[in-house]
Amino acid sequence: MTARNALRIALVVLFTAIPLAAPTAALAHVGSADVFYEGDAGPYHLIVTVVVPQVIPGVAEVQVRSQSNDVKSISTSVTRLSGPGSNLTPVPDLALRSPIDPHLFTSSLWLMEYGSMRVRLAVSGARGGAEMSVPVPSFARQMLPMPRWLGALLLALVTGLALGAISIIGAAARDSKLPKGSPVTAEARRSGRRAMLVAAVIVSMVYYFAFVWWGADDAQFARITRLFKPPKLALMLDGANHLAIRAADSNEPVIREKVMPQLIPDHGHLMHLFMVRAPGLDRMWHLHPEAIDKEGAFAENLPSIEAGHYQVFADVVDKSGFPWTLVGAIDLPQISGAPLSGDDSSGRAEALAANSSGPIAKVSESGIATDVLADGTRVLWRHEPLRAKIPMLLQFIVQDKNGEPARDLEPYMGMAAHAEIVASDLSVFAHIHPSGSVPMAALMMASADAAKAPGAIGAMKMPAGMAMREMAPASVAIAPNISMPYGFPKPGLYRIFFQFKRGGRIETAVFDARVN
Amino acid sequence: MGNAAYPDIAFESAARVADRTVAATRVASIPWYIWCLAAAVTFDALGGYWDISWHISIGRDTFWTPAHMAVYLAGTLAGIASGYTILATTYSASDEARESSVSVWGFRGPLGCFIAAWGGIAMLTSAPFDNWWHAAYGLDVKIVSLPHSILAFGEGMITLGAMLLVCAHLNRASGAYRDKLDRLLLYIGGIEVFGAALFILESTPMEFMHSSSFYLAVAKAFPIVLLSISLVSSSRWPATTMAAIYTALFLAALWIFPLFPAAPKLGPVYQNVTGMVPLWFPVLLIVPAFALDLLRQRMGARWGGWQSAINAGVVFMAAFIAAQWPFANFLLSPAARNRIFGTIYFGYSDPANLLYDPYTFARLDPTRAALVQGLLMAVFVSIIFCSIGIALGNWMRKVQR
Repeated sequence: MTARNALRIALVVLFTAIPLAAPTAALAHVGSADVFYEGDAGPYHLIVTVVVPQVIPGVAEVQVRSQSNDVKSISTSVTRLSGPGSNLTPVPDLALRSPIDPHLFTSSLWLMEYGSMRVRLAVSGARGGAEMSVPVPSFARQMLPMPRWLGALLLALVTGLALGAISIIGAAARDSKLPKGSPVTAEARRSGRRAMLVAAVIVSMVYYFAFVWWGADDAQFARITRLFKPPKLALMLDGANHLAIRAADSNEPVIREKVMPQLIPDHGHLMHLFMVRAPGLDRMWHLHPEAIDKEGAFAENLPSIEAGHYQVFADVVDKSGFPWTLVGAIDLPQISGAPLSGDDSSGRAEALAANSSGPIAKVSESGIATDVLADGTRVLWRHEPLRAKIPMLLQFIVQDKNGEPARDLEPYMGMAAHAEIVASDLSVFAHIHPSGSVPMAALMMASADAAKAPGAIGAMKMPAGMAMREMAPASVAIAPNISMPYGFPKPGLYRIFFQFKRGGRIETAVFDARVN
Repeated sequence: MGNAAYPDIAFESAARVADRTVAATRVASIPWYIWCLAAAVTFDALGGYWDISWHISIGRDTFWTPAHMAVYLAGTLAGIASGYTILATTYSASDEARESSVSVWGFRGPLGCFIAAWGGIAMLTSAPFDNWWHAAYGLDVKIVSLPHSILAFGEGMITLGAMLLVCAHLNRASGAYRDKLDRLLLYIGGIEVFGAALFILESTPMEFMHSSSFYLAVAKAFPIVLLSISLVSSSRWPATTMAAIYTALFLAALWIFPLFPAAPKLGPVYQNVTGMVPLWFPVLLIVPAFALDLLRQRMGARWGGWQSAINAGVVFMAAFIAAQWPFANFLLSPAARNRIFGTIYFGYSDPANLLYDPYTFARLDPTRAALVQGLLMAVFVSIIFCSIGIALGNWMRKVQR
């Protein structure tokens, strides 16, 4: 780290919520870093996937799927989501149109800094030009190991360089001062040998120093990636059902000092708390704790909850629009609390047998899976065979008890539906909506800034499935066919909690998925 | 090949030297491989400047940018010229070339060629390592990384090889041919000063000019080349000449680069960049370099001894601080915010004026005592590096092969 960079980073840390280097940044969702978004750029309906790189700076792969035939070209660029660096755009990268699938455009974009970024898409087509912005959290995830062949090659090269340096220094001491044509004297030979000995010591020291330096850089980077792991939650049950929630002291100070005290509401809540009973994932609670001070402490009066070990995920968004998921666990006794109210909800299902190798009931590999709820509501999940790392649309259909499309769906926290996706081993947690995996708060920031930008067209259009609660929710009609863009990050067994609101009640359907 | 391109110049007898000198002044020309290495050193330094400017104006780009090509051309040119010369010397039927060569692993050739070839291989080694480094760590935001240092060391060795080649010929030459070689040596030294200024770029922005780390970086970067070449050259003003070459090139770049349009390809973009962003105004190295030349002239025959290192180290740093410290006040003032002094230029990714005030000195030394201590350390380091420069120079003036 050079002094200039250190200064620059210190300044940026000071003025923005997200530090750019050593201090930290977070993981949006858990184990599911890629960004999925479905929305409209003016008249063009697009599904966008941003595969974020493992390291920053690194290349993000942007895939855009157009839902219409009239898109001529798409170009992409990166800005910050808000504040300095959000107004000026670099020369856009023209996305390549797939020769096989004319609806698919791909582009590679460098993410140069950590923090809250925005991928801007400029679309041109038969219906004119339009723009769209997708918030992208930019953070390092893991270090890449050195391939063995490269290690061997480098070892050979540096060994050769070391031997070469020692020999050249020996030759310099032995031969270089001899007049032309003079034979090499015994004294010159001795001088050469002495020089080689000294050179060997110096070269060893230089190599030792180089490895120490490398080790220090490696450790610094390891620390950054470690810090990108989800921050820890400190959870304490005090009293019968009062749950105290805050960022654990073991986190980097920046989490407690910069992030937690400066959260912004997402879907009208500062925190979305998901409690999943493990193993088995047979109970899920989606709660909304209240902030109890300005330091980022939250509290929730728990509803009645069955005893068990609960894995807890807390989704928050900081003031820069960067989404964080804090992770914790707590063993709860049987809790007797008040009935669920407001936007709080819960889901229940049979335990998911994580280690089962045979076919599992309700595990869906392809086709249509159905969950019938207590009141007879039927939820269908239609999908193709599930494969990891493939962006797809999770398509749900809500029917009434007679199998007719439900006509009485209402917005649930401003959205047509929410889905929480949890891997059976708890290594993946994602909270998605019809607009994708990006938080609404960040989307609104992206849209607001895009609208301010010169030449912005259609940027304020509502993202897919979004119906702001402030906009007379009862009057917003929600179609019973709801799709959400997502890509499972790795093979395995997943449970999906699909949540929607119907007739004033929040319902949760549960599906299981085996992803290959 | 080797020295066959020009007549032999002997050392044993004054009479023969005189004879040969007559011949040398008539036909001697600098061998082609020395020109190749001088060209490589030039391409490397200018390519380096261009590449840094490219990174801060346009951003990371393809492998095939002209700036990258200049650097790779430098490595290739140095490697091929040196390698060919070594092979040609080793397998030459003539004794001429072999008699003024050194031997490494059974190969024979001028010492400078071996060192330059080593530098070329070091540059090559850094390439896959650097590529992996960026893939693994992404830490591309700094110049002084381990792979970049290997690259820079390789580049430095090409320059040293070029200087030693010139020295070997210069030490055997006299008359007009020697003067020609002397001028070439000063030119290569000036380019090396330019390259050293690039390598310490991150430690020498204008807002650091009232901090000890700035002076420490300068103490490490320049004295070796200034002092070593001053010992070999017969010019009256060798250090001043080299500093002038660096200053002229930096000024030329500062004034010419912005004339070429450029736009950032990467985001986020903090500055509205419309032309190539130059690096900053050169440091006032010319002042301590001039002081070193005066010191050398005053010390006369004592120049080159151990006292020279202490005197040179103190004089170099004292003269530099005396010049640069007040000049820094000017650079940060509104009077310097123009195309001449160039404090108006910022890279696209630099949040200057948005997140920080670039016209304020960064207080990197927490206290005045720390500053004084740091400056004393810079003087001490300057003495150490002057000693290394003098030792190198004393050896370089004796190199014959």
